[in-house]
Amino acid sequence: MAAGSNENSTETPHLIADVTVISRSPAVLTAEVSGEIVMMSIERGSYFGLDDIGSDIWKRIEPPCTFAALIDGLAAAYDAERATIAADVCVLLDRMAAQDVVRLA
Amino acid sequence: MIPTAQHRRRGMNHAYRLAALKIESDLELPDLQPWDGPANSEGDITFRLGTVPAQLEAPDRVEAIFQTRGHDEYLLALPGTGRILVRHGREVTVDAERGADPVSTRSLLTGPIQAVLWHQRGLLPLHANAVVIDGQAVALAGNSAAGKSALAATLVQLGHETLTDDICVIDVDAPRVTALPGVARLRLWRDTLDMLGIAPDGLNPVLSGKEKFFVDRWSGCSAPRELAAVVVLVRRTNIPLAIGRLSGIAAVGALRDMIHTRRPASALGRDVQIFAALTKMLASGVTIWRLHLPDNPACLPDAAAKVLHALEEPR
Amino acid sequence: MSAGVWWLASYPRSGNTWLRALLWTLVSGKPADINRLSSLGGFAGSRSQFDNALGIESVALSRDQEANLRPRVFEVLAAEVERPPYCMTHDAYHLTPAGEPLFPASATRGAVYVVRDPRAVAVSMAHYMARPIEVAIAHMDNPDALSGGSTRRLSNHLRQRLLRWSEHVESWLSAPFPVHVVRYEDMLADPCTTFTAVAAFLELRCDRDTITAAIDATTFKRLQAQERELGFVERPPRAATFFREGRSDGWRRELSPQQAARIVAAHGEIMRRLGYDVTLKAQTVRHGAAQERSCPPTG
Repeated sequence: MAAGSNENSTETPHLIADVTVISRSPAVLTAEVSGEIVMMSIERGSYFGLDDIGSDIWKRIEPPCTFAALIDGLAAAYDAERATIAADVCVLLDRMAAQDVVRLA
Repeated sequence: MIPTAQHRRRGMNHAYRLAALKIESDLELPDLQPWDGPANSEGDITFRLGTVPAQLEAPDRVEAIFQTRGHDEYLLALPGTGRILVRHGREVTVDAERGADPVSTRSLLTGPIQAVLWHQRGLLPLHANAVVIDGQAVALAGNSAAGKSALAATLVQLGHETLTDDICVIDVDAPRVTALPGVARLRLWRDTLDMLGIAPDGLNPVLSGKEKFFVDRWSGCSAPRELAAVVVLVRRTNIPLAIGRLSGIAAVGALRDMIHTRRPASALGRDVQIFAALTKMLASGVTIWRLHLPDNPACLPDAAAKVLHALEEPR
Repeated sequence: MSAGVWWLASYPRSGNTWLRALLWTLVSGKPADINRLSSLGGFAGSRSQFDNALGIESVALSRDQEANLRPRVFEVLAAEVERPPYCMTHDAYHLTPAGEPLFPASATRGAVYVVRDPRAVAVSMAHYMARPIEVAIAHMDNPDALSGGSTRRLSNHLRQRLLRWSEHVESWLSAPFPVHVVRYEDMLADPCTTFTAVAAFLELRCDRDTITAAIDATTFKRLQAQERELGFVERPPRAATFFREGRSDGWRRELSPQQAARIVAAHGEIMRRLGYDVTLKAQTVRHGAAQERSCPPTG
């Protein structure tokens, strides 16, 4: 489905602070298929997949951890500036929360 | 003419085989293979003529032409046909409208109703033909107009056996993921028959008013076979013939679109089990392919060759 | 849940594809890909849309059963899609065999009806069908004309009723919901004004710049170029090209005076009502080809 222009969107971005706890949502079923995480929204029955970085994040939030701890782990594993990782992951987590794949507390 | 409920006979006159199951039926279902097991064995599935209410009691889902209750009850109400109730994957009751076309009713029973039965029994019916290649089943999946039967017929002419037409039932709980044998008679449209060089004279028509025929000349494989691959057919007018491998979410999504009678299955609460079954299929090594098929029967031999070639590749 | 379907309706070969390409660009913010237009909201004659919406294979149904159930498909479409679907159709507005409107008013928000001079339609149709113009003229004058529904092969398309060309137009003009009529010739001659009006009717909030950009991205030449490069999935195998000429007056070189007169005799009343000049003759003199223009600069 084609996305509408921004003026028709009603979503507001989630506020993610260092102490925000990131956890897996119970509203999705998951399975690993050829290294990729595939998911089904239990309520809507829709399927979607996580890309490499999304899959990595998914693995790191069980048990739940803070945003800061998540970024620490990713920064150690990936060769990029911590600030860049934090910004990118923030956007990704926002989208995942909007789909109720992760919970932000 | 279809007997109405008033003419119900005691005991059911016809017996058929569907995979390993025995069907006992009030109605004649010539699409199905006659029962060849012990005459007095108990039927697994019954098709009876009888009264079906207009509504289910306390349905969970009410849709335009069907209703469901829980995992076990499905009621189809189709003006021009009548009402069909399917319960527990075992009992089908047909309450035919006066003047209903029996050929059309049979088509519904061996098509969508059969698929509902399998969903209720916890198995996974795909909208697919299957052929046997090197001893294993290869499912050819697609929408109604995708060309599955035509491609299967082409492969049969190359020497492979047909396992099932239109509904390919997958058992993911067997030791290896398995495709069950089904209706092996291929149903082909006139254009395909012309392309394959088969004359329609003497062939039985599938539906009145449409030039679609049963081709009986090929006997099929009647035993379950391990499932090696699913080829998803996409037929469009002007695309080049091409085959490509799918994996991950693309593979799961493509398979999900190929579930037979998907909406009733979802209404029957099967979404979670279907997700688990599809991911299990992939985890066990079944390969998924997408075949882009141009809208031209002359390309079928090349398409068959591409499929065979793709399957030879080491996994 | 949306408030209903917007129908993008037209007799075949009347400019529907161009309108959809433009809409796609407006709605998605990206230049239209002619092979992805179905994501706007599908096609009213789609067999797979029918099968998925109702949960039953249309191939197992009789012709009348299939026709009678089509309104139910549209009700599902209206109820289940988040944002308003723009669903394309070539069906005339007509009743099913059971006597109910094919396009239920309760599931409809409105319709944009694209119309084109039937003389140009006849020429375009002849090329598309790869048949003589006489055949196209007869088809347009046949009250039982259909699209889809072959009995020799299974088509992706359900049976759609076209009626005669003028009946097709009349049926949509008198439909019981808002219908915005667009002439193909006006799309060519003054796309800015024409598409601005369409966007307003469809309740799309678009400023002049957005519309200008969308028009530029979907000029006929661009659509033709896309077809050459990528192929066009909606072109039938017989037609040499889908985006063939894109002019409003080309018919005058290809119809004989007798053919043009026959069309006017059959459909003249509606043609006049739509503002087409029925006194125009088929001849070799060209009266200045319609130019493609984008929007004039703001000011």
